[in-house]
Amino acid sequence: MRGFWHCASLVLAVAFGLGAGAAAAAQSESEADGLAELLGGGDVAGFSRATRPHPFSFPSDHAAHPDYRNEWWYFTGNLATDAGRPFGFELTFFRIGLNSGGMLSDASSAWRSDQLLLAHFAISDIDGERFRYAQRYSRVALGLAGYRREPFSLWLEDWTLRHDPATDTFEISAADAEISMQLQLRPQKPPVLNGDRGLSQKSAAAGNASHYYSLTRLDTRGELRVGGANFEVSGNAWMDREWSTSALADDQVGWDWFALQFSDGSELMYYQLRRADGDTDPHSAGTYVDRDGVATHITAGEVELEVLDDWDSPRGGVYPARWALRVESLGLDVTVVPRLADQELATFPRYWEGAVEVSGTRQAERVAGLGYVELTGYADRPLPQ
Amino acid sequence: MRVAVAHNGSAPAPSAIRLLNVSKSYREGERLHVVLDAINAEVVAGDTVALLGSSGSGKSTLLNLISGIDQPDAGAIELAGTRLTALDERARTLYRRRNLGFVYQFFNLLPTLTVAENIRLPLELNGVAAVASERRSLELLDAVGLAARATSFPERLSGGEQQRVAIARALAHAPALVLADEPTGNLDEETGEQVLGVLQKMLVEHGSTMVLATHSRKVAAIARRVWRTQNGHLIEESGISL
Amino acid sequence: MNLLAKTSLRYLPRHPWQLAVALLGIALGVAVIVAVDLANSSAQRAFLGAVDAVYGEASHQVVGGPAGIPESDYVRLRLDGGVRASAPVVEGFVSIGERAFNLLGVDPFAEAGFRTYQIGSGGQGRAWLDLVSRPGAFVLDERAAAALGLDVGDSTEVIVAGKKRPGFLAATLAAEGGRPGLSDVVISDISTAQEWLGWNGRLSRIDLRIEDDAGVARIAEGLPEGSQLLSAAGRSRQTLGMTRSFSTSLTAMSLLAVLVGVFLIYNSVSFTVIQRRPLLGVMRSLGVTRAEIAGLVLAEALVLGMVGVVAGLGLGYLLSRELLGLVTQSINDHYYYVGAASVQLAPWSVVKGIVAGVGASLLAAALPAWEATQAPPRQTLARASLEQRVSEKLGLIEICAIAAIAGGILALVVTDRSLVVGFAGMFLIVVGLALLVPGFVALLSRRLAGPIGRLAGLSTRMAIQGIGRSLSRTGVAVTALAVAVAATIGVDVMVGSFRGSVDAWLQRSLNADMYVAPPRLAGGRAEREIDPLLLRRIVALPEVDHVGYSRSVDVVTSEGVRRLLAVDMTDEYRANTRLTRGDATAAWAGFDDGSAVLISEPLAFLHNLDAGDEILLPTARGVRGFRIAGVYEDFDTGSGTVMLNRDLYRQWWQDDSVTAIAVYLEDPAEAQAFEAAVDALSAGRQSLLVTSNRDILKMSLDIFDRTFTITNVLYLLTVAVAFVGMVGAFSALQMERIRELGTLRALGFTPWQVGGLVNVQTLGLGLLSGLAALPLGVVMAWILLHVINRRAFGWQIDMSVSPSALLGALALAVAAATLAGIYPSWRMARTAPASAMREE
Repeated sequence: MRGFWHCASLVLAVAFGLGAGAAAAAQSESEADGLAELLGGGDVAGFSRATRPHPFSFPSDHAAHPDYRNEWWYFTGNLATDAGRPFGFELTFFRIGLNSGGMLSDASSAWRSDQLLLAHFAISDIDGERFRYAQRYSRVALGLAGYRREPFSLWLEDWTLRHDPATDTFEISAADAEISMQLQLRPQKPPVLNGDRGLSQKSAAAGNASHYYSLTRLDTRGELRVGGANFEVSGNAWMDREWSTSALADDQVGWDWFALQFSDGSELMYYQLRRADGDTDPHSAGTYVDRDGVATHITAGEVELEVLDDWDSPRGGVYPARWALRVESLGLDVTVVPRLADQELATFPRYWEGAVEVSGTRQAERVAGLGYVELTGYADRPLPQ
Repeated sequence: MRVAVAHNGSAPAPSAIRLLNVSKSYREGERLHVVLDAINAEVVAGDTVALLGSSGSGKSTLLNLISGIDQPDAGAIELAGTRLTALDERARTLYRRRNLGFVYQFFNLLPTLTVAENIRLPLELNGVAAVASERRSLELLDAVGLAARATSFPERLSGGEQQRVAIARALAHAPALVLADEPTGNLDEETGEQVLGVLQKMLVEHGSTMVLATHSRKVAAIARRVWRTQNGHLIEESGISL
Repeated sequence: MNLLAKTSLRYLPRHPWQLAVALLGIALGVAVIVAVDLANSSAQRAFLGAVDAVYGEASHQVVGGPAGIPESDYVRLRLDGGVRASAPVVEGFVSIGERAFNLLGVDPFAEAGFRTYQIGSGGQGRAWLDLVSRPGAFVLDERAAAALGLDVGDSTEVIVAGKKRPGFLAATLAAEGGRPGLSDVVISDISTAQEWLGWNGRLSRIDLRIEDDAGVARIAEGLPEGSQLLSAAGRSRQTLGMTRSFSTSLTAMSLLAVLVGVFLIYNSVSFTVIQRRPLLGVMRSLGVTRAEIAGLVLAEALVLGMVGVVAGLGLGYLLSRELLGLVTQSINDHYYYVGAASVQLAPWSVVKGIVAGVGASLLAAALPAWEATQAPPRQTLARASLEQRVSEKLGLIEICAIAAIAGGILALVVTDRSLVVGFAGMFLIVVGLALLVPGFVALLSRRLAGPIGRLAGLSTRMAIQGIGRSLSRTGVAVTALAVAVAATIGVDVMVGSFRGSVDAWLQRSLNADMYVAPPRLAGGRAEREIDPLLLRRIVALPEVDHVGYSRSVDVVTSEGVRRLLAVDMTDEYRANTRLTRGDATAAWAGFDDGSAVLISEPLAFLHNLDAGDEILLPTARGVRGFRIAGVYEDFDTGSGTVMLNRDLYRQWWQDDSVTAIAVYLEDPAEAQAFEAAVDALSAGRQSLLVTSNRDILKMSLDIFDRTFTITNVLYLLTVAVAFVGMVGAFSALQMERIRELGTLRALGFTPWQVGGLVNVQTLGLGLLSGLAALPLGVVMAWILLHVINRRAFGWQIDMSVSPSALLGALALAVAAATLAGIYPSWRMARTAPASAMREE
């Protein structure tokens, strides 16, 4: 679900990259409308839709599902050096299928493609109080970008994602002018299926759903280069995987997504879809994973999310910046605080994706933790009441 | 010759005109025509001299020399003590501007200026402000009896009227010397007499010296002295060769 | 001095004809300068804009030969080399409906930082995705789309190299945004461009943005054989260089117009001075200094100049619109497709116009102003002496004339390449000869007066003598007319000779019966090819006796674009190719065995190459030097052609395609059958043009004529300017002579007779100026052919002067003069003697 934003951002980012400045400005006025129309409208013919739970099997499902239109591999995590210097990272690969109307053939140019890849890479330098990001996009052609099935690997020019089935380890790497990263990630728990056995319904319309699983705790090790300095880091990461051929409903304007890893070995994922009228969409949902990897589905009604503070983006718009999260059924009462105020990616459209700190209680026991939060649909919009 | 009048013991006033060994010849086609041959002459201030002779006899040449328009081949010309022949062209022009007035046979009023403006021209050339020059020109026009035609253009005036304007113009800036070239040559007898009368009157009023070139003895009679050019020499009608 | 100013300011309106002529002269001169400058700069801007839009912000480009670069080079550069500021480009030509476009195939994801696109309507971001995934998708400027009647989403046929391809309009570009040059460009994804052009696997070039020299060096080293790295800075230079000769020539023509304009103004101003001599004399006698008089005349000229400039600017703008069409047509024909350009008001052009107008007025008035100071203070200086003075002056003029001519000849002899010096030299010689015209007129009128008088009577003799005697007034008018007529002779002879040479050359070169090639959309780029299968079938047709194959491509070198013409030489072609340098036997031997190449005249001249030299060309296997065995006659407008054996070409460029074939039929009468057969074979497969040599000849000459339309327009204007000057001059002349003619009337000449007298004079003036114009015109033609054209384009043209051109010019001079004299003489005849007799 989160990838919708990236889908739109790919499409619009490409347009922006091509200099449609004025057009882009006009766009932002009706981002949400544009989104819904862009992502859903027309062109879903020929793609599979998520209508029934998918028979998951790993590691093969780590690889791409090109029969669906949108797909992503979403890595976030909190890392630190041995000395304790903290960093947050995000690396997302996103695939969009294009409707070629079945016109690809041998006579086609090697450039002709029906798949696009987009990636975002960001590092939050908590101590340095700086947030840096980069993006790449390319068509899947000529080896410029692509993916393989077995073993699973994916690349976008010089950014790569690999899975070694023998050790069940992921390797991700990305580099840009100011930041680069090479990490190895080992899942500590089996994949968690979100929603109804992995079928995550986003709105009432059938087919407006995705197949969604997460690896909620990955033991991570590797190297970062930030602002010219190298760091050896380790920590915990989170991977979200989703594929679908669907879109936001007309009245959905954005979402807040939380992925929290607690000190007691459990994790919580929760996304809250926001409506134009300010209400929370009842399709908002989440998953709680206990220490042993047992997952429990959380519904919107179980969660109380209160915004405690906000942050004005220097680029326009106001984001929530502190929350009280309560899930009574879990006995959970925590405060979620961003580790750095400005973790906004000024891509087009803009969104906030940042490392957060958690503290509070679970079933009366003190609990702390780290995590990642994603906020979309806030640029140029006031906080919903 | 009138004796120069001494002024309270100071040196006598310089002559209005002095010609010292002045020679001039013209080339016409292939021939060399000697017009003036080492002439010496003197004119006292306030005097009137008539230059008598037929066309081409050199009276125009002499006028050109006296006015500084032309330079003699040899000799010197002094006007009121200023050696004209020692000045460069520009200095002579400026001298002329200040100290000479002309009356021509064909009037030569500037057709694009009104009658009053024609008279104002020499005044303004001499730095008189517009208001003052306007006033003076009207005064002069009145003196020659043409105040009513101030704003007319010359082409609307008769010959005699134009010449009267010309006379006014010649005297507008109170020059020491007035040169007239056949002033009645283009007028009928009656008008001519009228014009001569105006001329005399103006001269008396302003006390200027005049040299008048004419072929008519009758016209020459208004002058006190009469010179004649002949074979390169200047002969005073009294018979003495100059 | 206030009153002094009034004397002149009131004078001019009283003589409206003088005023009008002076103003007209300035206005026309300024108009032509401004028009040519605006047209030139607008066309250049359109040209550069078209080129820039397609090249964008790239600092460098990787280019290959005619077959382009393998796309794997791009992938390697980007992935292995890490060069992220890179964009692949595939270029070509397409046409939709009746309109031709440049095709730009790009990768939308790599375009950021290279080219800017402003999506108009229709799908916004979605459009770009469609371009990538859907074959045939393209983007057009919204005006172009509207002109073709296409809406977003519409399908249409796109014609590429004669073949029809399906396409559809995925989006339009907003008209205001982006670069102006994009209005004649069809933008598509690389994949579509490759598919359309049949270029799967290849790119036309890779655009790069490299900041540092180290980066440039690194990339250059890593390039495979057959590719080179070119900098964009050099590209603009080259682009402009292509049309520099063209625009220089145009500018020179405009200067010629200004020259005549200056004559015109000089005419008018000096007449007003001469007419006012008596008045100036009066003013001088009143004590107005020479400096003040000169200042007065110059101030008058300045005021005239400024008024004329204003009129001229407006006129020039209007004229430039017409001219621009002609100029861009020529650029389209010969260099690059720029489409229709619009006049961009350049402040610099306006400044030039103002400077030219004011400068010309002051320059033209300088001599009369000086003359005015010579007006002796009014006494009674006889007319005869004035003429004497003028006659004395004539000696001085002759000296200046000789000096100018000598200077001009020196300039032409000392340099042999510089176009600007060539024009300067021509200018000096023309001015020098022009200065001799008055003397010529005086001499001739003196000599002829007697003999003609004996034939035609006293009054005629008077009239003719009057011409010579009144030189102070007639000299200028005659010179102006002579120069204008000489210009017409010069240009006429030049164009005629040129056309004759081109015609002869074409007839020699087009020695086959029929020519078959895909249609050519625009000048310049030549990489069309005949479908190979189709080619085999055509050659196998029974009507065909034998065929000559040729391949025509452009290669890019660091010094500019060179055309390569690879031919399978037929005997007929060989026999009809004229070698101007190099030993024929050796040259052809070298050509045949592939050990040498031949180069065209323009290439040899413009780049200082000769038989025996080596020329460097980028091949698919790297840059190689080829020995030049000879230079052949060619009238190309590009920067030169290298002709080589097709085997040699295949060897080094690894390109088998054929651009065109020359077909020699068994029986020339079978031409139509052949054409029908080719049409039948090519229908639906590729659109091919089958043209007979006669038709090609005609088309080529049409292009030739079209190119010279501009020249014709300009020199017609020049003649018009001179004609107007003549009318003014004659009017003034006759007005001046009112008294004289009035005397004649008083003596008993009837109005008819007086008019006749005047007409004899104007006729005589026309005849004399026409006679003076003849040698002047031939000299101009010679210089235009052997100096100007040679230095501008490198062509070698034989001059042929047709008697009809000369007679025509003479007739023009006489006619102009006579016509010019009609009104004044009519006025003159009607003037009553008495009023004429009275002094003004």
